[in-house]
Amino acid sequence: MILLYAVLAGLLAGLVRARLTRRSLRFPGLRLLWLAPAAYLPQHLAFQFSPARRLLPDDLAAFILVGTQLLLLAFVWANRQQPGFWLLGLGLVLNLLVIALNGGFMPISPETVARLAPDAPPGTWQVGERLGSTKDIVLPAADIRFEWLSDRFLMTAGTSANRVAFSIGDVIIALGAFRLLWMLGSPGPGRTSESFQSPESRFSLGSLHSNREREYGD
Amino acid sequence: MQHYILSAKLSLAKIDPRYVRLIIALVSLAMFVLAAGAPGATGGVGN
Repeated sequence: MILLYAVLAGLLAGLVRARLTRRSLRFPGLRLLWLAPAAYLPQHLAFQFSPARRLLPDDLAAFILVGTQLLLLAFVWANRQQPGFWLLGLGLVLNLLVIALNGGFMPISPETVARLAPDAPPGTWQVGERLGSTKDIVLPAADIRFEWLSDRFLMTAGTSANRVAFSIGDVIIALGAFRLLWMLGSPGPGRTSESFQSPESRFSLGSLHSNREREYGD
Repeated sequence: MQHYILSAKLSLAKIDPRYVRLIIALVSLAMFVLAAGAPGATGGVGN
């Protein structure tokens, strides 16, 4: 959810930037866009959709997590010329690395879980087991490979149920999403790719409105 | 009935395809960050 806040913040920042600079909204023509939902939907089934996640064995869930992140890696590679994608790719690679090296799930230490959910009843989580049906697995800090890439940071604002643990990879992904959306209000094509500069991919709310008025007379 | 179908067609025709592409791209980006990131653990452990 915190990553969606980054998308929302980036979108708002891009829109404000476009409005302040009175520029056209621009969005890059992304290649292989279908890979994003193709990666998200299996993960949604495995980790979010209750009926399916209860049926899936951990091995299969881990396979889905790593496999879908490889799909995302292909998506990033196909769009590596776009602004923000090198950050998205870096964050993805860091998450994928620590996940792949720790059995297919994002490791989290018992100390972090204790801080994350201090009120959790005993037996809610155990060392060596997945943390509920999330992408995380609880491992002793000493046993975590690349512990510095694991879910070791906490966002503790709000109630305890709203607390979130996240990794440095998540932070970089959030920055990449913000960077990409900031370019919505870009004052000029700059060093962006050809598809980003194409007339088809740039438009403004004002020009859209006037075009529609011309076409439909409303 | 034909009136309603015609009205619906006109309404849909007014939607600029660039808006549709923008929304599709934004939704796909949201899906990307949700799938690429792994901040799955919350204080409501396991929910």
